[in-house]
Amino acid sequence: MGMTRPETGSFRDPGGRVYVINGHVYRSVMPTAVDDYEFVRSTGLIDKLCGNGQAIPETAVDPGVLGVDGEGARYVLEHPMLPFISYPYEWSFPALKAAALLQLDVHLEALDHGVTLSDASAYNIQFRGPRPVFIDSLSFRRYREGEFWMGHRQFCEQFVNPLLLRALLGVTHNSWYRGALEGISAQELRPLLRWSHKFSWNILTHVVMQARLQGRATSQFSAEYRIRRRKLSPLAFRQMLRGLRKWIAKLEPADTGKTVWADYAGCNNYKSEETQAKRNFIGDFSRSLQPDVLWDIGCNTGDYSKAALESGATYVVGFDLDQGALNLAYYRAIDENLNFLPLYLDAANQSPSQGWAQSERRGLTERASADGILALAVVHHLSIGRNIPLQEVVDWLVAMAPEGVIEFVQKSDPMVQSLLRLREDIFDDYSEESFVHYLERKADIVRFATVSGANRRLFWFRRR
Amino acid sequence: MLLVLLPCLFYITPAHAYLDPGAGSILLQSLLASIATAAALGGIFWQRLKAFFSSLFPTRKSTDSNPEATTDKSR
Repeated sequence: MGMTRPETGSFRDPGGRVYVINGHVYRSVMPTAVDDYEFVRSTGLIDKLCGNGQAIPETAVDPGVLGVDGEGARYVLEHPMLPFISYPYEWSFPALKAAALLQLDVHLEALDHGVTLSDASAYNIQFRGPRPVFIDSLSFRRYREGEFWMGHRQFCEQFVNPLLLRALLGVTHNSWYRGALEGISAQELRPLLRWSHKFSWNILTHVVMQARLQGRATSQFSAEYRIRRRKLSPLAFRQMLRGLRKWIAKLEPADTGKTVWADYAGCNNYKSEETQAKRNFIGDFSRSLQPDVLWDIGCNTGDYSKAALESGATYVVGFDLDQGALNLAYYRAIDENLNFLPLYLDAANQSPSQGWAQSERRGLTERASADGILALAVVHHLSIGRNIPLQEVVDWLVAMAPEGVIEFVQKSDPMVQSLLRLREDIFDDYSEESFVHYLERKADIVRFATVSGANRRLFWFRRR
Repeated sequence: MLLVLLPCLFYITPAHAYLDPGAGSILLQSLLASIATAAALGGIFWQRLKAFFSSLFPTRKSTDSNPEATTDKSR
């Protein structure tokens, strides 16, 4: 058996670590975590949550699968492999909100079983399609009556405050969260709030008061004293969770109304027969490739992700920069029950490897690879919109998957012209001829088709 | 002047560096404990009051939404 290496993001809990070996996901349970693990299992909580689709299933396997690493472990559990691991700074507002609600629901269910959660990390939640699922069974431990909610601060920083940033101020959480992996603290958010926001009981307590109390707690002793003296009754604990749940369920982005999103869906640059031609092409590609995981770079509202899913793709991860489109794509995936997860991504500045030792949270291409990609109406945005040399754009896309479909938009196209309207055309290299030349240096062109009156063309490539 | 002020800037922060970042949350929870208990009891009392009155007028059907629903689609 070869050397195993624990997952880089799982080092914080000495009670166990996660290992990925040959496409299998294992979690070790070390002696310090055994009492709580056995107690939690005996309550039936895990089975109940798995049955509801709220937690990821686990089965005990022979600790030998971990080789040397399994020696100290009392149990080794196997989880099913998720098609893609995503991070909260890649989630859209409704996805972060759904994750927050799941965290609270799981905690409420746990309390009913005499169990609590030792933390409230957003990284303990992953997505299967658009639906969140809790993945860290070692966060559960026996509840002791009267104890405080130890994950409250973390819940506020990793869920509540990033959601409030958008819901109150219309600022998206993604860039800030990516820069501060543990989220946004109450002390950071408080100075940004307006007076009118502070009339809300929830904002007053969870943001303003928490920030002030943190600032005033000049010694640790006062908090320790409180922990020893005061208790949080089970009734009050549940009330806090329920209160937060009710509040978060009502949060909506301040910057986009429903009507804007609806308009967005209706407004696109193609006539319907052009859209249909594209769908047919994607359908043929998807039927031929049958990809387990397809990445749709520039997924917009998910039209072509859906076309791919309907013709052979098992799971699609969509990426887009536009928050309005992402919101729509997310709700569409929920409504139409699609195996589709739309995520925020600036293709010119993709998620990097970062966190502890620059490997705790992995960059997009270090984290996973796709069986196929779609890159429709993307090349001109990168090449002309962001000045990235055409050859580099092509190389980047072809490196991402062995097979895919790339759309080339001519320079004369109205959308490219609008990108060039206020700037000098310094893009002599931007032509279909150059595009094909660069593509054929790395891949074979399986098929191509013209899909619009403006000569937009789709190229189906197969990497050599 | 700057030489006088600079050390002050550096002396302010260290106290916080050793402060548990959860102290504010714990202090808040200890303050909220009684309020949350009162709110929860008030909620239970309100439910019972509603149940009592709806039992007096049994023709009206309860339209309470399902509190078990996990995903909230408030769109």
